[in-house]
Amino acid sequence: MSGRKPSYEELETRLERAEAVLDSLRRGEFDLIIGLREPIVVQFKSLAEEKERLAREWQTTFDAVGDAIWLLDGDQRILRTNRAAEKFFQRPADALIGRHCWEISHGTPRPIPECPLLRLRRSLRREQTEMPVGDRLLYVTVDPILDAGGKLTGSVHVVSDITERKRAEERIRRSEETYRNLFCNAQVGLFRTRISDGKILESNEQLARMFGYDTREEFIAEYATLQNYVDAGTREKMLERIRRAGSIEDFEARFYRKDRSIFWARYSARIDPEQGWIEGVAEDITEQKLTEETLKIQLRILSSFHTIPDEEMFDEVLKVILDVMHSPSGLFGYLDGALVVPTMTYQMWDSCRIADKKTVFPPAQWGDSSWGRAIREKKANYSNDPSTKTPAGHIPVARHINMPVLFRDEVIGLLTLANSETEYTEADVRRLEAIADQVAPLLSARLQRVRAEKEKDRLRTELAQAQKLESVGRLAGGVAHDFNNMLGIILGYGDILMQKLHPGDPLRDDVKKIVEAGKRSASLTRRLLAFSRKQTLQPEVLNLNSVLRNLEKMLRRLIGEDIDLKLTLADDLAHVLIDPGQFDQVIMNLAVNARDAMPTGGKLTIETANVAIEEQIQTAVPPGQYVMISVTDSGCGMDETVLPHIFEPFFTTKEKEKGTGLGLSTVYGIVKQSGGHIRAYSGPGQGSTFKIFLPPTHVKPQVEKISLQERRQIGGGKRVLVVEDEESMRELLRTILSRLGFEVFVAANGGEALLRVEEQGLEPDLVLTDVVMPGMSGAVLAERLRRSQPDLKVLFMSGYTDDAIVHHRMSDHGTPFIQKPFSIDDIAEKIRRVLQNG
Amino acid sequence: MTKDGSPSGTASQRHGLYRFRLFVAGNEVNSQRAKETLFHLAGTYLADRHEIVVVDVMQDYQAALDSRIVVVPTLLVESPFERVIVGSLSDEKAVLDALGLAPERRPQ
Repeated sequence: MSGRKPSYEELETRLERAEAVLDSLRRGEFDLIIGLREPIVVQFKSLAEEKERLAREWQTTFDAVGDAIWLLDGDQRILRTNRAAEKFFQRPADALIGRHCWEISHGTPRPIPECPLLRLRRSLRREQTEMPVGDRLLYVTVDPILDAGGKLTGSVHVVSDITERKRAEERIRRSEETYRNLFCNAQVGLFRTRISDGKILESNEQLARMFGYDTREEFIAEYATLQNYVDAGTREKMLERIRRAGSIEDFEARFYRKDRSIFWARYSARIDPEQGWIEGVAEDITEQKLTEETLKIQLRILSSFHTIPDEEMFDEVLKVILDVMHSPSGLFGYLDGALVVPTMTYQMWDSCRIADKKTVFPPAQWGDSSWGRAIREKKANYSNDPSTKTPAGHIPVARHINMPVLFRDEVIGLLTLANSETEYTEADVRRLEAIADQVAPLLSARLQRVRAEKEKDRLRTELAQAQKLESVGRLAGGVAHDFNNMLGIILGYGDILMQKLHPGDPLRDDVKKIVEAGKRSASLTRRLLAFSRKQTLQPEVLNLNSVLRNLEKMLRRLIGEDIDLKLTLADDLAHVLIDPGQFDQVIMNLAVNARDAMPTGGKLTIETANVAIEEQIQTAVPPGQYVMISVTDSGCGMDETVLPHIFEPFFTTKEKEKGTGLGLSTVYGIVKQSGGHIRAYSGPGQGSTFKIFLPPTHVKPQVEKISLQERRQIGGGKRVLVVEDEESMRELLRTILSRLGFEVFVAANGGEALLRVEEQGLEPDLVLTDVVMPGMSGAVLAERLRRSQPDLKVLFMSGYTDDAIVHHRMSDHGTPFIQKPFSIDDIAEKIRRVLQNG
Repeated sequence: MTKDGSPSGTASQRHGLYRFRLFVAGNEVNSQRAKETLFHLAGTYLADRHEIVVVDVMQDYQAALDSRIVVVPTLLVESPFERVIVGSLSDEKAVLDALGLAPERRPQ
């Protein structure tokens, strides 16, 4: 230190230095102040740094909090805000600080009524509230900031977004609820039963419900275990096992419910011998069992259908079904028109005391039986009524189910179960229905196969039958033709003899008998020829309805009063081309046949219809359009042994004097020769139906009326040339025609005829020629003659028609033709018509 | 007393030699910072032409009293001119100014 007075500069320097020191002091840049005796350690700077550090730490912490935090002043203005709050309110701190909290939070000009700060002002304690804002749920906490005197100076406002937490809580709550429901509704029953008698000591609601009781109290009070095991000995078996092992697991048994329906239960239990009880859990496994069983049945039925021959199949399937349905008796049949029952249980069959045990039941025999009803209604029925009526000798039926087997809405079979130990229920019906549904497609396939095979057999038999008829026809035709010529001669000379005899001559009666016998013989051979299709037809375009109406009166006389005749005629029936006389013959023969089948009366229905045959297999008639005439009687019918032979000539079931055995053969021949088909349907006691299918024609019908007058004045001196190879016939014709007033010329063959016309200049008005002759045929002759005389009238005659004649167009519609043998009247009328129609 | 830099005999004879005497208080924050700053500035601007004596007042209190030091840290510039700089020397620019070593007057 200097003792001299400091200079101004010195003072100034010292002042500057003092100021620098002070300035440094303010900045806290000193560690030490040099005192006079000891140093004063100064720590300004570190204090400041510490403060700064704390502030930084605080802000970082503040910002690190996920909740939006505001520091509010006493007027609820925002003093500070953390990062989360900026983010939450989507504004920077600048835009928040200084504003009232409600402006930011709610966008209102004043605090909202629910504001927890309002409550805080009174309570001066933490307040909180949940507040939904938009789709978020907020949790707001406010804490007061009090000064030393306990006065409110501000608050801390914390907003937490609890939306996710709430949602998570909700999810947990729901899953807990689901779990609780699951538990409450589970099919698990809890029980405790007394060992000695099985009495239920304790149960839960589920077990009570399982047994069909409304409450567990009711269940415990009423239920008696021993009576509720369906299968005897089950409880004993269970007790034996549980005593041995101390517990059982997954024991399965059938129980009765309160309503006596049956269910399957599976239970696990343990035994407590000291307490004398068994306790455990049980569940209803009926559905599961049914599914298992259904699968098993399905497999067994499937394998039965596929591996077992026909006759055993029905048996095997029935066994499976009876087994699963716990029924001792039953039957399994299929529908083939009638109900056919190839199988029923042996018990049923053996115990049955019905005298005439049947396995085929036609619909007429179904009556009002419950199984018949099931088939008719296509609907199952069942009964637990022990007084169900059965035919005498039938096994007693205490209870039964009838289940139709439906395939594509058609009943194709029937399943009947009977006499189970317990009553049948709706549930049994549903099970059996499920089984029937499984059986249906298999049965259908099986039946179709069997039917197809049968049909094939039938067609084969039919073909053999047709071939047989054909050969018989040829034989009969051959004989009849020769015989016919003889008859012609017999009849011709018989006629002549009659005319020559004086009316009072005693020989007249004898000759008359000869002629009548000859006529009957002629009719017989005509029918034989008809059958062998060797008679010549004169087909015309006809409406069969009018033919039938004309015939009606005569038919009524023919069939008698006891038989009711009904004609059901289609309105728009198509025309057919057929010989009207022959068609009459067909209808009469069928009517007579029907009459003879109904000796005590009945009903004869004749029906006409236009039909389209689509599938040959159904009728053995080729597909196409037809006019069908059906003749149905309600008579005794025919069985399988008769039906195949009915069209054979000389086959008859009638007494010797009554039938010739040619009626149906004639029908067959006529129909066949007319290009048609005939089918017969019959069964014992079911009547018979004959169906004739004729091809329709589009040719217009022509009405021809033939006058019957002046027959004997036809000749009138006209010239007729007779060409006939057989001399006696030639001579007969010469005699007849002379008597009809003709000038007659004869030739023995075609050549001779040509000679007469072309060489000798004969100009006949009519040529009557045989069709079949040695050398030149009648048709060729006619053609030759017409070269010179195009308008020449020719009338053909023949004993039969065969393929050769058909080739000569003899059976063409309108070709003049006369069938041998003929009466004088026949030939007179024919010639008259030929000459008129020039 | 701690000596640093070149030997005082030869260094004092050189032109523009800077002699510093820095009073510090142990390793206290400001003292530490002042030491670091002085060594850094001297090394940067006065390479080979400075001499620094660091006096720890906590060990040699009398030296502070003798030099009439009031606060620590204080830097005494003894040469080429006399100057007292107080504080932690944290304002480097002001220090360089006080030492006449401001950038615009810095020798190139």
